[in-house]
Amino acid sequence: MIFKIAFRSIFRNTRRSMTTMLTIAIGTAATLVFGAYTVYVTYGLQTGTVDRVGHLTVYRNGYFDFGSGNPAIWGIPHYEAVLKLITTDPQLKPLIAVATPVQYLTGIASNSDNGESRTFIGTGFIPSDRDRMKHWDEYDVGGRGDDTGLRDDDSSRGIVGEGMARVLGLCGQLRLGNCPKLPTGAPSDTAAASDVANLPKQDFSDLVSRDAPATRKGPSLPRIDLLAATAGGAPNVVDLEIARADPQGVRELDDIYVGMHLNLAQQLVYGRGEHRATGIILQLHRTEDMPRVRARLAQLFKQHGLDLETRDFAEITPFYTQALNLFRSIFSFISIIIGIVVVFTVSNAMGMSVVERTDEIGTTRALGVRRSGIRSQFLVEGILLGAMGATAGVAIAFLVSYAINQQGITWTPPGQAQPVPLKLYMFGAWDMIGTIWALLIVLAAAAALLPANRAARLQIVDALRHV
Amino acid sequence: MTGLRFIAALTVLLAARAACAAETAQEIVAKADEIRNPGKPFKSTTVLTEYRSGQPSDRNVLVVYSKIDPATRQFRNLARYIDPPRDAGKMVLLGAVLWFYDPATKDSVRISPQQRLTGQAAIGDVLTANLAVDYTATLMGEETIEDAARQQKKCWHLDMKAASETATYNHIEYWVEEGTHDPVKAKFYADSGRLLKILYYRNFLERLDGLRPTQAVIIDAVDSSLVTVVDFSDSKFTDIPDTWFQRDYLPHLNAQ
Amino acid sequence: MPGASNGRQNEARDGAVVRLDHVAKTYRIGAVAVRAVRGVSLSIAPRRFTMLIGPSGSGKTTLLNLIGCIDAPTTGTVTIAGQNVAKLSDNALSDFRARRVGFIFQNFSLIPVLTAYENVEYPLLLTGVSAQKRRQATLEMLEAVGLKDQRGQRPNELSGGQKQRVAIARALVKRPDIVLADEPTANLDSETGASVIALMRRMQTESHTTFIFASHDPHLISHADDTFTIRDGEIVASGAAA
Repeated sequence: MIFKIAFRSIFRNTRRSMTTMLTIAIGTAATLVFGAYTVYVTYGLQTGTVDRVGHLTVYRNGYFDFGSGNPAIWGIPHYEAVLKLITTDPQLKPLIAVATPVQYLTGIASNSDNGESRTFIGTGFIPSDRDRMKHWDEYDVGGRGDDTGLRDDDSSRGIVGEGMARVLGLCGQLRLGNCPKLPTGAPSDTAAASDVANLPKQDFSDLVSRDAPATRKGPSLPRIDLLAATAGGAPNVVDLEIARADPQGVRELDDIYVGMHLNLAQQLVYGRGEHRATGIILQLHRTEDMPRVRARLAQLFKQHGLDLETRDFAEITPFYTQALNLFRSIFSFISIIIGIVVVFTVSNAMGMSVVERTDEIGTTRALGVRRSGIRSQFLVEGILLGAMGATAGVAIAFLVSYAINQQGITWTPPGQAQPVPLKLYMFGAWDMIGTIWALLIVLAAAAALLPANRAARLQIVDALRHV
Repeated sequence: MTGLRFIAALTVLLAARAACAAETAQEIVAKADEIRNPGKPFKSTTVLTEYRSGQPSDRNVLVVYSKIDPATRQFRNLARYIDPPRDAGKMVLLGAVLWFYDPATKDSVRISPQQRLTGQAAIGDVLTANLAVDYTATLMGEETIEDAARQQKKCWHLDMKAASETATYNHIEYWVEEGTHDPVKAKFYADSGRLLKILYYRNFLERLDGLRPTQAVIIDAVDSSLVTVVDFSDSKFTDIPDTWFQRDYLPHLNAQ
Repeated sequence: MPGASNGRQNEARDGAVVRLDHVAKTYRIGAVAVRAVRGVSLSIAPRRFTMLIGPSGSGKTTLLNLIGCIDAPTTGTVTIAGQNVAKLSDNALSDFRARRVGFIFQNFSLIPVLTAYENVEYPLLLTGVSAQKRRQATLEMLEAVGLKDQRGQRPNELSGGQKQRVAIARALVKRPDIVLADEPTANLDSETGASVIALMRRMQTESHTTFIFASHDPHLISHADDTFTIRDGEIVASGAAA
């Protein structure tokens, strides 16, 4: 009977109830659509991150906190044996999609043709593994970056960031789109200091030409020198042929990045010493397997007395967690604002309803309904308003999401180089939908509580007199 | 070191090349080392002039104190900047580790191997190193080459491999004049096999009780427009206390 | 025909179903204290059609409210069916009303969103009567007041007389100890009003429920078994009619 009365009472003042329910519906829909967007961003960020750095990376114990300044001395000894240990373990094998060694290094990249040089931070990897990692797409977000364009059997080729290419003056050779010209007044570091201005010029061309390298024949890829200190502290230099420039998404990285074959990186960093690897990247089939794999790795390392540690992609790429937290905080903020609007609207509508039905309240109390019964009556009305509005809101959210998804909009997430299609995830996000739906109903009930209490506290004779 | 000398000698014999029967390759290198730098402690005024495509681009004058460490049989060097005035008083301690001291901050900073890849710190390795200690020499043969003064010199052509993990260069090609044991030319190679530096010695003059090279021309093989010329002058033997080569002592030295 | 008197009617020592002892009610409007009822003591006999008569402002509505337990006296005791209602908590009082007291208001006070049937059925839901019994009692009551065919209509589709008949059915459906009617014909024309009073009389006779109704209309005195005349909050006369 309570529900019958509540439901019919709602529609007594159709216009007001419709406005209230519409407010709730729009509030629910807005929260849900933004929630779906947040879910999409989460999946997109995760996919972009896992595509690049995998799920877990095994390092030498202590590298992560202390070793980034000198990766050369933090290599994992006998890394091939460790890799084998991991990939042949029966517990881990079915969970791992890609297991690949990487070498991080820093040094100086220079273009001998024009004398330009700058420090670089580089990664040595196995190209085919790298390309395979880009295919991970557990959430079906699509839109991944290009393959490296490098081959496993050619150690001499690599890629650079677009910023690096620009600074080294390789823009034109690599046929990059956005190739600004050096301004005419650009400073140069070859200007002589005043104390050498009076010294005579010298001609060393004879000495230099005796050992000049043979000129390379035929069309060739742009070439740079990579200088670095080996793990043993010796200076070392290698050639790198640049296959292409690859935008890195983040400008700071784009300006300093060099990617190369693992063998070349090891040659440069370890030289005559034992060739090691900075880390072993593991990309799993499913993100949810991460804790299991981590635990098993810890077990294995302990068993074999290996001083290694494992880090996950959120630790390695703190930006991931930061970006997610930003979106989540925005989402919370928006939700709170919407919640306040809903509470205000429902409270207002219910308050008016109570005033209009004061005599009805009096009659009902005279008939023998308890105060709690009156309170419940109005609470139920608030809940019904909330439930109907929220359900309508869910339906609207589905429609809006569908419409947006059909538009084929793309955007470039922060930290990534390529645009990806925008997809709002409503199907599958049942947790989120259920929670928001329930929350809005709770809010409506809470909003109805004060007017309901007021109704319950009315004195019968006063209420009956109120016509 | 006895074992290494034995292997060097054996290598020479197995190579069966026409060589000075009286000497091993290692002995040749050792003699060349002695000609470059005497065994007793000495000091020298060193002028480093950097040229880019023939144009002088930088010049520093340093006073360098050198003394052999009996344990490693390598030189330890203390270099003190004199010119230009903006660098005056700065000091560099070259040993197993390179320390840079700035009198303005009274603090010494370790220069890591990465930081020694380019610039003046890069050439410290080639100047006073006793090559016979860290490298194993093999005699490749005799070769007549042009020296830095365009004189033809008949030389022993030696191939030197790093004897330990800590030797700076993986491999060095060395030309030492037959008979005089004067060092003529050296080519320094990196672990990757690429040529890093070419070094010519010239202007052999009376210096520190002997006929020694007073100028070294260092050509950067990676950036061949860069040539550094090192001139030694005012060299004299002098007592150098061991404390001078300690990093903590550097602030006190500055007071002198 | 709804069953004859139920044995639930408890009677006080003197047989009265309602007893007021020196009951007074004073309420404040702002700073002014209004003494609506001053020291009234009376007993109402059960199973009779009793009328409280007095002009408007005489306090008869307040007296009715006190009897109906929807208001509490400032002083004095109100005893209904042997129960001193002052001793009951608010919830107990609500339950008491639900079971024992029926109301008929002058402006009908039907729940506007419920049909005639549902309005009549409503009190039975408060006392936990089974669905089958509810249906039976509701239909019987609607039949008795002659509104069986209109049971699906909402109050805004009924005439004044029809609405009051629904109110009567609602008041009686739970077989209360007492039924209180406050100016039941005030909003009806004289013809309709007369028929409503006749209906009330008939229902009372058949169900033997105690009916207490208040009115300012002297023409209705002839319908009453007992009368109490009220003026300025005091009983000035009482008597048994024909």
